[in-house]
Amino acid sequence: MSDTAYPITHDWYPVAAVEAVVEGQIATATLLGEDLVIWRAGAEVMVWRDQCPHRGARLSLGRIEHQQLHCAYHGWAFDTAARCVRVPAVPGLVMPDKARAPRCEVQLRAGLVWVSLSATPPPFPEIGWLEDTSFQHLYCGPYHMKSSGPRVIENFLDAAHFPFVHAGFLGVPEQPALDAYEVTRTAHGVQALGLRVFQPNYDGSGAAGTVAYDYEVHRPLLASLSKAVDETRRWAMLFAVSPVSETESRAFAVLAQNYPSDTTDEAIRQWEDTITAQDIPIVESQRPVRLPLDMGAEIHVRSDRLAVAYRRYLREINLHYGVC
Amino acid sequence: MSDPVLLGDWHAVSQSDALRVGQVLGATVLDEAVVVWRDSAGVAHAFRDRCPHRGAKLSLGCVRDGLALQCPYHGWRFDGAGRCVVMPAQPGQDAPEKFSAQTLPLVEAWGLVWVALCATPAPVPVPVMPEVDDDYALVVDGPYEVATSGPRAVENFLDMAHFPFIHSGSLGAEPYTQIADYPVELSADGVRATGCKVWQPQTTLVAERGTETAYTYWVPRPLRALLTKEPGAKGEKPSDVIMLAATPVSEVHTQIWFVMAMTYAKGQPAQPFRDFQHTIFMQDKAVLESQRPQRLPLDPMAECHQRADRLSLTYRRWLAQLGLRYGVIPLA
Repeated sequence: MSDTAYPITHDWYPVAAVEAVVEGQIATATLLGEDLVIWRAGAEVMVWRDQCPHRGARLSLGRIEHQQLHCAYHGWAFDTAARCVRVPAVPGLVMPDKARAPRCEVQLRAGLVWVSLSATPPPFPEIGWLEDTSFQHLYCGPYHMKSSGPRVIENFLDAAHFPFVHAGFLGVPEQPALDAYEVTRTAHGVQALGLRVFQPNYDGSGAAGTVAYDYEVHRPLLASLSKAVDETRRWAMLFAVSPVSETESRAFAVLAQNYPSDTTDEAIRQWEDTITAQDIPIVESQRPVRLPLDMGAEIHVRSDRLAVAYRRYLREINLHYGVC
Repeated sequence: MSDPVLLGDWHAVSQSDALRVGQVLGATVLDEAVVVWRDSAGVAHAFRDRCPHRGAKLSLGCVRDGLALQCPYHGWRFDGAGRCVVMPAQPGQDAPEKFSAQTLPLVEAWGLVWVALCATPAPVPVPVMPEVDDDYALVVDGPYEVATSGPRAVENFLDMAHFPFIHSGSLGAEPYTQIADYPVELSADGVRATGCKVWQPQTTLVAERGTETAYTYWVPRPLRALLTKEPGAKGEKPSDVIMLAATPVSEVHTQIWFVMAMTYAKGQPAQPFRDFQHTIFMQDKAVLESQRPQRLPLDPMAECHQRADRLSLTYRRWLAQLGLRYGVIPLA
């Protein structure tokens, strides 16, 4: 087990949908307790800490003009590289580099704006189908949940609740039994393969069938699933929690399928929104809100093998955030 | 905060009629989430509102097959004794004892469902209304939500001197503001005050003219009090016995229940009596919620007191003797 706490602030987290960041407008988000300001100039999206380096006012109270963000307090103007290019009270002043707005590393992937709060972020996790052009991708969310990130991820990894919480979508009450499945530790997380579930509406099109789930945890708050509909058709989903605080989360999803579909994006989003809305009251009711990593704190049965492996992995990497 | 005095007491969480067969209700008592449900045999059960498996609220679930409470999350079912009897993901597997929901003591009395938060030591005796027999009609009323501590709400119930001001035209009226001295007694079974007299323009819903009324107050528990209208002649039954039960949701949030026993209400519809009580309590609520501090100060020097406050002062002294800490500012 590692001695130092897992550096949760280094990972990549989605903070907004790319299309929700509109030219000339200012968006905000809170990530790991840090307030962020998000804005766009052409194809470029900027994410900075929401604090002017001059007097600490919120930059998101300002305005965008000529591809510069102007602070509301003293009108300081920052360009897309976060350099202060104008101080109205002292015309002609050339500001030193130190006067930069505090910018974050940004990546645009699968329609989402991803941010790391580290100056030297790790590489983006490798998720094959996310970059595979034979898949059609669709982002969903954000979903706001008053719960810890680890509780929200564990719910994503749990197939035993489908017949109760998602009856008619991901499960049927008449078939609640789960066969045993294998779980393995991977280089970056954990993996469970081949959970077979009968689903009355497995991809939002209304198609029913028995699918085989593969789950993978990539990072403490990033997980994916890939379900085999048949030998060639796969439906996949990336699920990323963007922790607002230890007990509050925003989640984004990226859905993908490698087969043609007549279902509109809007209908698929509605299907995913409905499923998540079914989860929210249950997950928000869970106590303690932080995920207990002590194996004696809650009860575990055979169908919880993946949840148990996830908790062991969080212990092993020494995660301190959103757990107890 | 755990308060041993209140943990072992009975707290009303529902009217009995409102918890129908097959129904599940969530409540909060002393900051703890509680679930109550009624099985198909008509028996009500109380558990802590947390599934032992993943900590989800059982009150989001439902009653299955009439005799088990089903968790909303993974469908685990718990019988009336709290035993897990079904784990749907693993059919046929027997759940060990530790997979049980935590049961809580529950009784039904006076039209209310009462729960206690401790199993050991045994809770205090079940609430009583000593004079009340078959000659009385019972009307159960509540809950009224009030943003203050339980002791503030009980003390208001024990206070007559506010009648002419807060309940002008019904329970009191100017210029009849003077409260004559009355005896107060503190004993092992609580606080009792007798012969508390006040002139009331409309003492009950059915009163046709003003009258001088005399009350007996009895406070058997910190958050439960009864008032009895003393009969006009010896040997008569009191016309009204009213019990107030304050359920502490948190230190500064309380649910109030009334059980009104009336000799003159037999065969009458209950709603007009509730409406009368509603009007009275809404008048109280605004003032109650304005009081600061919200927790009742037990130090006799903390507020100022008039002669008419002897009952409230004795109530405060008794709470301090009991060592109550929840919803009060204890003595330094």
